[in-house]
Amino acid sequence: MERLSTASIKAFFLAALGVSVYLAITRPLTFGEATLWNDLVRPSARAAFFAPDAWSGWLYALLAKRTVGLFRLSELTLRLPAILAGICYLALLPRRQAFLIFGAVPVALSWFSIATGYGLALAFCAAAWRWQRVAPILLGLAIASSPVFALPLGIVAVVSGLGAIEKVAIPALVTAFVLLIVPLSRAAEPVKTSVGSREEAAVRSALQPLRGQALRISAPPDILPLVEFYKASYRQRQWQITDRDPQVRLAF
Amino acid sequence: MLRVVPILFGAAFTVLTCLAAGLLLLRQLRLSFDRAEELLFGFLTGAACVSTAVFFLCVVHQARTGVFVAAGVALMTAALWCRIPPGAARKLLPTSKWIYFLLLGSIFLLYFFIALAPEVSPDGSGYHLGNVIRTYEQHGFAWDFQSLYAWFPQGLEMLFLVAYSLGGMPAAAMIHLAFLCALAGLLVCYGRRFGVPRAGLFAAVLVFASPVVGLVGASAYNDIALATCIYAVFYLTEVMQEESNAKLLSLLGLLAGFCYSIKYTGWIAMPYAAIALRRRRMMPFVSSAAAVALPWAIRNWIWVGNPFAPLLTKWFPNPFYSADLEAAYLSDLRHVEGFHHWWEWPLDLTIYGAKLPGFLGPVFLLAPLALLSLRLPQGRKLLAASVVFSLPFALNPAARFLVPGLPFLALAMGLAMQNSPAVLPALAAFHTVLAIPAVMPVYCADWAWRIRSMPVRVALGLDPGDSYLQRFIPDYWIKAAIEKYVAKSQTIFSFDTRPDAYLDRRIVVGYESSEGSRIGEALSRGESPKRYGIDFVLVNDRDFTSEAIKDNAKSIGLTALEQRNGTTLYRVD
Repeated sequence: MERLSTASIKAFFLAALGVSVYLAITRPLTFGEATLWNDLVRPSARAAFFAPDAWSGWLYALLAKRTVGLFRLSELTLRLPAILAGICYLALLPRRQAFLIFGAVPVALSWFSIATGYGLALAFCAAAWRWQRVAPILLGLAIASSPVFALPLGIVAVVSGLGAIEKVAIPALVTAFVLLIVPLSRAAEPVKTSVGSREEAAVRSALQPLRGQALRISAPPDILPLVEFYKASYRQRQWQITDRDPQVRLAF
Repeated sequence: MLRVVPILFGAAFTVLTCLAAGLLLLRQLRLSFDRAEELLFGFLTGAACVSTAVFFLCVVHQARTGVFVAAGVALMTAALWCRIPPGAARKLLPTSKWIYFLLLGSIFLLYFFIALAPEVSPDGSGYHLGNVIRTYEQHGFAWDFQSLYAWFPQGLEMLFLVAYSLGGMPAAAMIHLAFLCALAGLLVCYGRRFGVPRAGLFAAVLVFASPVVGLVGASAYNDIALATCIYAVFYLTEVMQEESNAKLLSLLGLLAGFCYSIKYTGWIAMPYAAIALRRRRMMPFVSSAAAVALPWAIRNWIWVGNPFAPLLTKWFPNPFYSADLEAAYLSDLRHVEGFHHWWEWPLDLTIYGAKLPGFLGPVFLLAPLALLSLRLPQGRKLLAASVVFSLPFALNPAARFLVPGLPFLALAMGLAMQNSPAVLPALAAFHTVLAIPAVMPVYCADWAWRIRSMPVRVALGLDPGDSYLQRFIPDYWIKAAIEKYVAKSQTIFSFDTRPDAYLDRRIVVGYESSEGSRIGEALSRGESPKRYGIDFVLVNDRDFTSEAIKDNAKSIGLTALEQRNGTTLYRVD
């Protein structure tokens, strides 16, 4: 019975991983991912660190820089750190706990197929579970990957008592503080957008057939990061993104 | 390089004179401190004694270099003659002390060169050293000079005077730096004595490397000296609760009184100590505090008719400064613009320094963690002291007015985090890195008041100081202009304060006295200031009457002589 359940959990993990990879390949790039690429992955590491939205994803961007550099730009390579984080997460967390979390939080599956810091943060949490001696640093990295993790981790620390606060929560907070305070000091209000998944998919569908043509394309500011991404991803240097006398006008 | 010798001599001579006086006093009181505490409390109590002695020399107009040298040599000889036995050795510091000492040493180098360079701080080159130079030139208080800045107690300026007479302006800044070093030393000693050595070392770095503390501490200000003496008062009240030695009361009174004589906001130290010492015989405390603080009040009472001039003018009306001027001055100090949400305040005070002058450093954003120290009696005392001594910030919202409460907050933060592995040295190192002049622009506002470079060549005299002064003091050009146009006996009127320390002429400033206010009003009405004895006028473009003066210059009888950096020098015809 025990063996059977272990085998079924392993099968579930493999299926989850498969779904993550499939989603990473097929899902159109989101506005958030396009912005991450445009603001944090494309510029130099130094410029990215000082970008206004660095606080929300510069750790992820550091990894994405490597994967994009190694395997050329595409949706998959931009999302590769998230997939790798998913693999680490599944490998590091005791299987039952991982299974429970996957079961209870289906959204976790999408965190490992999209270029954001959530998956990375979850992987760091799993690593902290496995290597408890360096748990404070790993939890600090989790918060630095995705600052929203500070809240649940803080609640867990408070519930666990003074020992956990002193030995784990404070060092984790200080680690995250050291990594984030400079980006946070330069943070600006996030760009508000009305671009949803339908528009994201439509941009890809509209641009895919235009590959290989020298065109002047006009796009509203909301979707410019997406257009820039596909231009770089498809290596279409001949595309000119301009509002002056455009041959293709993207509008939603 | 020769420039450095008199500066260091002047500073060292003053510090050693204070130390000798203090050690002699400690010997008389037969107090049991360890070696480090003896040196620190010796310096601080000696500073209080020397300051008071110089005050009386100024009253009788005998504040002369020769007198200072003779008295200093006599005190040092007496201290050596008495052969003060070394204090008891205390517990050792943890091995991690070297990390903290390395951090303190590296940042000290930066401050050392800032202090050694020509004085460029606004208040330092303005009234702090302006008063010192005026007093030095007249060998005593300049009774005919009426300005609110001359009426403030000048306990620290009395020590600046000794240092200045031997080593010039940078020697005065060095004295302030000595107080900053003493503060770091006291924090380390406190941690060692009261069983929290790592928290003490951490607090020392946190305070010492705070950007505003460094900038003010390496300039001829008085805020750090005040913070040091306030902390010493707190330290002694804690020692008294441990040892209950009645002789400490005199020492405590001396330091509490010295707090008042350094800066009016230091008066809080006296009631604080009195409350902390409840149910004890207070006579030695009160008498020694009065010996240091009262002379300043009496001087003002006789001189201006208001013992607390320029404050409480409603209670002590006088012809030199009206209640309206006082109200306008205080409201101007409190006036802050540009904040839309409450949370912008902590961010500006710790990171940006964009809307308030100076900032404490981003690590102080972790100050809420200090609340964890509330579970310890020591933590509760530290946090209470931090709140009490930060109260003057409400009257003058500048980061430096938070400095007296900062050592207590830093210690409470250290207490809260001392059981967290590796956190204290890591945070101390990070804080020090963030205090490096080249790193600060990464997070603070471009225009934030901060140390901008390490002027080694200027400090050592390898580069001329003039270009350095012109870079940091926009009004420095006035020095050449007034030396060219204004005779020594002539008087200048200005609506705004000027770098007094560099301007060897009498300047009447509009808001600093009733006389200045009358002249300003006359100019606003289009009258010539000649009948008030004014020969020249300095007007800034941002002065509210500047346009009217410019338009009516001919009818008022003003001739523009020179204009630069938004300031015009007029001759009164």
